[in-house]
Formats: sequence, C-alpha cells, structure tokens
Amino acid sequence: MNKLHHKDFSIAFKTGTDANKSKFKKEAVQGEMYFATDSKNLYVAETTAGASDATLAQFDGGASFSNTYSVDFDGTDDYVSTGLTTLVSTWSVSAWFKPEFTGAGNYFLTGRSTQKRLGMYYSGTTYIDYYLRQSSSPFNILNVRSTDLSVLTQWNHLVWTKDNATTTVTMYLNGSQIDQDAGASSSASDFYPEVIGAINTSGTFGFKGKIDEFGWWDGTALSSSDVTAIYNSGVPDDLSSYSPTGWWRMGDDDSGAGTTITDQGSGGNDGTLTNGPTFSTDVPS
Amino acid sequence: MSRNYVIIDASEVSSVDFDQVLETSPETLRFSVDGTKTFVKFEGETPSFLEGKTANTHSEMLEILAGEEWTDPNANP
Repeated sequence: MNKLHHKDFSIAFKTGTDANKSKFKKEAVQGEMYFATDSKNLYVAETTAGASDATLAQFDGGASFSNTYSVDFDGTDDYVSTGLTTLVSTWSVSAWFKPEFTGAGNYFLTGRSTQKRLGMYYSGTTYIDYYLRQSSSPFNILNVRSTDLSVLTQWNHLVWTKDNATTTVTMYLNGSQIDQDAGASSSASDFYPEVIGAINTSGTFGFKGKIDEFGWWDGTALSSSDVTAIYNSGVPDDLSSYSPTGWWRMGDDDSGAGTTITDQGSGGNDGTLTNGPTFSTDVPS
Repeated sequence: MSRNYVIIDASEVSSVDFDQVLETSPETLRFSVDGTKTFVKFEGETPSFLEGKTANTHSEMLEILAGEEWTDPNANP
C-alpha cells in the first residue's frame, strides 16, 4: 500500500485491475483507495475489512471518449464489409463523412446487395443530391437537392431513419432534417448496411473520402432530438447511451492498424477492410 | 505512399498474387461493365506478375473508372 503522509492525514491507495479489487476488499482499511487502471473507476473503503470484506464506494471514471481515427476510401473498389445479412424494417444509420469528390458521380456511404443504398450524387459543379435509393422503381425513397457545397470541404454528419410503425423515413444532415417521407412502403425501405463506403460488394459507386463513427440501429428509429444530440454541434461523442446494434469506430478500437473494425455495438459484427482502405488521423472535431 | 493501379484481363485473375496487391481476394475484385477486365492496386515496388503492364495513378484510375467501360451509363444506382 502506498501512503502519502501529512501531519494531519495520510492517503493510502493501490492500483490494479477492476477484477482484482476483490483482493483489496479483503484487506482494506477504512479510507483507503483503489484505482482500477482498466475501468478507470476509483473505489474507497467505507469500512475496514475484518470478518467481512470492506464495503467499497465506487466512483465511476470510465474511459473517456476519444476519436483519433477514420477510414479513408480511395473510391475505386474499397469498402468495409460488416457481415450483416438480415433485413430490418425499423432502423437508423448515422455516419460522419468528409468528401474528396473528384467529379460528377454517385458516392455511396453504405448499401446492401443490389437493393438499397444511402449516399449522394455530386453534379461536379453546382449541387449535391442526398438520397436513400433502391435499384427498382421508384428509385428514390428520399431525395433532396442542396446547392450548399461547403459540405465538400468539411466533416459532415448524415442520419437516415425508418420507423416501420409510421412508415416514415427521414434524412438529417448536420443535425437538421432535410427530407422525410411519411408514406414509405414498408418493404421498399427495409435495410441493413452490408458494406460501408460503397454501394455493395461490387465496389462500384464507392465513396471517395473519409468515413468515421458509423452507427447502426436494428429496431430503433432515432428521434430528431437523438440526432441533434449525436451531431453534438459537429463533434462526435460516445454513442453507447443510444445502444447501437453496430458501432464501427473506424480504427479507434483497433489502434488504427490491421484489417478489422471492431464492432462496439451490441451485435458483435466486426467489420473487415476490403480492397485496401486505410486509416487516417483526420477526424471530425 | 502513392498507389499504382494496373488493369488486367479477367482471364489473368488466377495469376494474381493477392499478398502483393491491396485487393483482398478474387471475389472482391471490381470488373468492367462487360466483365472482361479488372484491376489491382499496389504500393511500392511493382509485383513481378505485373511487370510490363501499364500502371495508372490514382487520379488516372478514377478517370478510367468514370468512363463507360467501367461505369454503365444506363445504370441507375
């Protein structure tokens, strides 16, 4: 036990893993402290251990949220495969993106097989169409045109939600709703993000630029207030309180190395970097 | 490190050493609209099985891929 002494008091503390605090409880003297280096929690002995273990007061530290990495797509054939295969009727997608568009074309943030895709079309000069599309008529489930090209030079946040109970699909850009269809057919807007950074595993119509903090909710349509909070004035924050099914942090849980994107959501669907996307330290901030 | 992109015939896929290119596997290759061509990319020294073939820069490859040979002009993505 380390002790810091002063004429009027002493401070005693130990460090170790959160699991090993059980040993501390068997020998602690009232007032002694234990810092768990993995969970960042601080424990203070409220009682002295004797016949019974010491009672500990817990002060949650929790690893603070930090965002260091994104994934950079070259727009030729690369993507992240999520391994998801199940269509979902109520869902949400949240993604941060920084375009590096080189000309007119379709740039998709996510999609699945030959059906649904979420992304944008850049005219090359004057406008961007944001959409939720499908491969058969009616092609556009959501589609809105914007002439604000500031999006092309900065990090941005897009969210799509589908509430099957109300057959409503909604699209948000940088915290604000930009399009909504309250009469979307159920089957036309069922979805799952099979890939991130392309239209599907063909690699065509890929996204060129960086994508970060990609969230997926199976069974939840995020509310407008949720979207505002997640946008957080342009700075990504911890999504865990929104209980995402998939949360691919794009390198932050994988030290920005390797070919696996660990899923921090409840689904455990780790992503796989396919055809050479790279990690970047350019992140929204 | 800059990347180089080399277009090959679809019939040459079996000769690709995927340890020397950034593409993951034969199943993840992107093919031309008619399916007769594909491409691989690499960084650093040219893999021996690609020697003698034309290497394109990233910007050159993006321009090629935007053409009708690689992007179906009738596609409604």
